[in-house]
Amino acid sequence: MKRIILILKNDIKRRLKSPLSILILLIIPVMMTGIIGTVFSPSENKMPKIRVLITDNDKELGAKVFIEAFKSPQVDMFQLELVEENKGRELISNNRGSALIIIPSGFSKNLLKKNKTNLLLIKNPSEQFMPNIVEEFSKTLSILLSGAIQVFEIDETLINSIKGTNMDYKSLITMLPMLKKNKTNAEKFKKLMTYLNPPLLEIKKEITGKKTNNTGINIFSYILPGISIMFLLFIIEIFIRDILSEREDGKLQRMMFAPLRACEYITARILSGWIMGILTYLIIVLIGKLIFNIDWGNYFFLFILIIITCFWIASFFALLNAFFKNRNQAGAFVAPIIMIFSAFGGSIIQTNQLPEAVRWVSALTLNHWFIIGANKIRSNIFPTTPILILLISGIILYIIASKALNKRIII
Amino acid sequence: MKRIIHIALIDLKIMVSDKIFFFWTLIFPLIFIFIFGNIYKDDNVKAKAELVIVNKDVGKFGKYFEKKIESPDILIKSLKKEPVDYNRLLILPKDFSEKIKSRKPQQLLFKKNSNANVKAATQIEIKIIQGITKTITELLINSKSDDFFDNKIDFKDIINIKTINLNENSIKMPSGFDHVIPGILVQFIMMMVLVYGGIVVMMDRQMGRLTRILFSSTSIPELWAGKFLGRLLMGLLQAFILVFIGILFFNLNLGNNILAFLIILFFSMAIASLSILFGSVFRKEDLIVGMSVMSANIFAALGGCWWPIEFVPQTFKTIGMISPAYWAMDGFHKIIFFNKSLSDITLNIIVLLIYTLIFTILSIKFFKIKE
Repeated sequence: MKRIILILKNDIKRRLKSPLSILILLIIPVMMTGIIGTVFSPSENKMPKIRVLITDNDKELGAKVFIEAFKSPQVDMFQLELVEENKGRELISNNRGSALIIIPSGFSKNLLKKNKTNLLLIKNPSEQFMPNIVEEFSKTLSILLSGAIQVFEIDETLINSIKGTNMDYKSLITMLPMLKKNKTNAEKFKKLMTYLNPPLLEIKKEITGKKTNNTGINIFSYILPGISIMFLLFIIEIFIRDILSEREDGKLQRMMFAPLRACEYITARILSGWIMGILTYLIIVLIGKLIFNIDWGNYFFLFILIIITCFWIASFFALLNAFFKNRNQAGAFVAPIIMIFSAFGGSIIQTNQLPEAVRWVSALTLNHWFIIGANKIRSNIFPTTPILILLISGIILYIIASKALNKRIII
Repeated sequence: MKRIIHIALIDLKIMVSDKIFFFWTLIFPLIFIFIFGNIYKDDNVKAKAELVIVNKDVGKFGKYFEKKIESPDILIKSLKKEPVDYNRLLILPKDFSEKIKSRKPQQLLFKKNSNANVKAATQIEIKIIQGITKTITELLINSKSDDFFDNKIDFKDIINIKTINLNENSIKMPSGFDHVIPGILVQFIMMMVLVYGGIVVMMDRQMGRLTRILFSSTSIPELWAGKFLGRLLMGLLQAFILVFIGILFFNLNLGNNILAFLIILFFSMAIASLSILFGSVFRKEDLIVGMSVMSANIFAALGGCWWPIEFVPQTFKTIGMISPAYWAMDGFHKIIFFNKSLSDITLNIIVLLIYTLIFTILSIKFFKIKE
C-alpha cells in the first residue's frame, strides 16, 4: 500500500508541475458549454425575430387581413416589411430576410368569389428553420381565411367600406360589427363565439417519458455534463497512458527492479487515473456552479456517479493500454474511440436526435449512462440503473485489465 | 520552388501515412455528416412526422376529425387502445362525437414523448390546430342541416401557399446536407491542418530535422514556404475528400465549383499559417492538440459551422466575424444558396487574405529552427 501511495504522490506532483495540457482540456468543455448555452439560451430577448418580406400586389381587404395577422401581438415573432417584388427578391438573395410572400393582384376578389388563389412564397435557401415557420404560419392563416370566407357572407359593400383605410390590427376588430350588420353573418358570428369561447375543441398538452421535477431550465446544466464527460475521457486517458510511456522510456523496467509487484504498479496506475479524474471532474462541477449557476442536484449522488464513472474510464483505458504496443498506437486508436463514444453517447448531440437505426449504439457508451445519471441527479433521483451498469461493467473491465496488464508488465 | 514542393510533399506524406489519417479525414467527418445531416434533413423530402390517434369515439366525428388532420407531411396511425411506446399521441374520447353534436367544449389530450423530436411535435400540433379550424368552419357552414354528415358542404382550401425557388433557373432547393457539409468541411480543415501541421513543425524542430534541412541548399524562407505549402495541401486534401464524398453520396451542390474552390483555397491558406504559428510557439504535442481542438471548435462555433446561423443572436453573429470560419461559411452560403458571383465573395477573400497575412507575419516571427 505504501508503494502504491508513493507512485500516486509522484504522479500528482508531476502533473501539477506541468498542468497546461490538462488545463486546456478543462477549459475547452467550459468554453463550448458557454458558447452553445449562450446561443441556445431560451431567453426571449435573444431569439431573433423572423424577418418576413411581403409584396402586396392586391392592396384589398384579403391582403390586409393576411398582412395584419403577421403583426398580431399574440404572435410577436415576425418582423414584417412591405416591399416591391424586385426589392424583396434582392433582399432575400442578400440573406436579409427569411421569406418573401407575394400576394397576387386580384387575391381578394378571388377570395370573395371563393375561387382558388395562390400566395407565392420564396424561402431564404440559406436558412433551414425560419422560412418553414413562415410557411406553416401562412398555411394556418390561409385555412383561417378560407374558413372565414366560407362561413361569412362578405360582399362588395363591406370591401368598399374598408378600401383606402389605413387598417391596423385593432381596427380589424372594429370591423367585426360591420360583419354583424348582415343577419346571417350575425347569427354565424354568434355561433362562432360559442365555439370559440370556451373553445369547442382544444388541445391539452402533456409531456410523457420524463419523470423529472426540475424547477426552471438552465440550458448549461444540460450541455456541460455531455461535453465534460467527453473531455474527462481524454484527460484520464492521458494519465493512464503513462503505462505505455513508462514502458517505452525504460522507467517501468527500473521500477520492476525495486520491491514492487506488478499488481501494485497496475493498481497505482489505475488509482492515479481514477483519483486525478475525480479531482478534475470536481473542478468542472465547481466551474459549472460558479460560472453557469448549474444546480447539479444532490451532490452526494453526483459524487458517487463521478467516482464510479472515473473508475470505469480508468479501467477501460488500462485495458486498452494492455493491448497497445506504444504511445503512437494508443494515440491512433484512443481518440477515435472517444469521439465515437461522444458522437453516439450524447456528448455532441442528444441521443434522441440520432437516427433511430443507430440509437442502440448509445447504450454501449459511457457517455450515455453518465449523462442519464447526471440528468436524474439534477431531478434529485438516485440514478440506480446508470450506476449499476457502470459499476458492474467497470469491475469487469478492471479485472480483465489487471490480468492483461500483468502479462505485459512482468519482465 | 522544387525544394519548397519537396518539403511540402514530405509533410503531406507524413500526414497521409499516419495510421489514423483516414479516420480523422474521412470516417469521423462522415459520422458528423450522417448525424447532423439527419437532424437538418431536407424539408422537401422530409421524413413524415408520426402521430398516433387513439380513437375511442363511438360516433362518426372521430373518424371525420382524423380526416381533417390528414396531411402529406404527417403519418397517422389510428388505434383503439393507447400503445406503450409512441412519440406523439392524440386521444379522441368516447364521447367526442356526442360533445360536438351538443356543442359542448372539450379538451383533446395530446401527449408528447419528451425523447421524441421537438420539430415533428410542433409540426403535428400545427396540423391538429388546422384540423380544428377546418372542423369548426364546417360546423358553421353546415349549421342548418339536421344531420351534419348528410349533404355536408366540405371545407375548401381556397388559398394555396405555393413555394417557389428564389432563382428560377436553379435545379433544386438546397438540401440538409448542402447546409451541413460546408460547416463540417470548414471545421475539419481547421482541425486537421492545425493538429497535424502544428505537430509536424514542432517535431521537425525538436528532432533536429529543420536544422538538417538547412544544411542543404534550402534557405529559411524556402523552408517556411515548404511548410506553408504542405499545410495548404493538407487543407485542400481534406476538402477534396469531403467534397468528393459529399457529391458521391449526399448529392452535394456547391453551386459554382470554381468559386467554392477559391473559398477553400484562401481559407486553407489562413489556417496553414496559423498551424505553423502553433507548431512554432508550443513545445508539447498535447498542448498543440489541445490548442488546435480549442481554436477549431471556437472558430467553428462562432463561424456558424455547428448550427443554422439564423438561430444565432445578432450580437453573437457580430462577434462571429472575428472567426475566419465565418468568412468561409458566409462565402459558401453566397455561392451555394444564392448563386453569387466572384465580385460578391471578394470581401470574403480579402478578409481571409488578411488573416493569412497576420498569421504569416506572426508565424515567421516565431518560426524557430532549434528549441
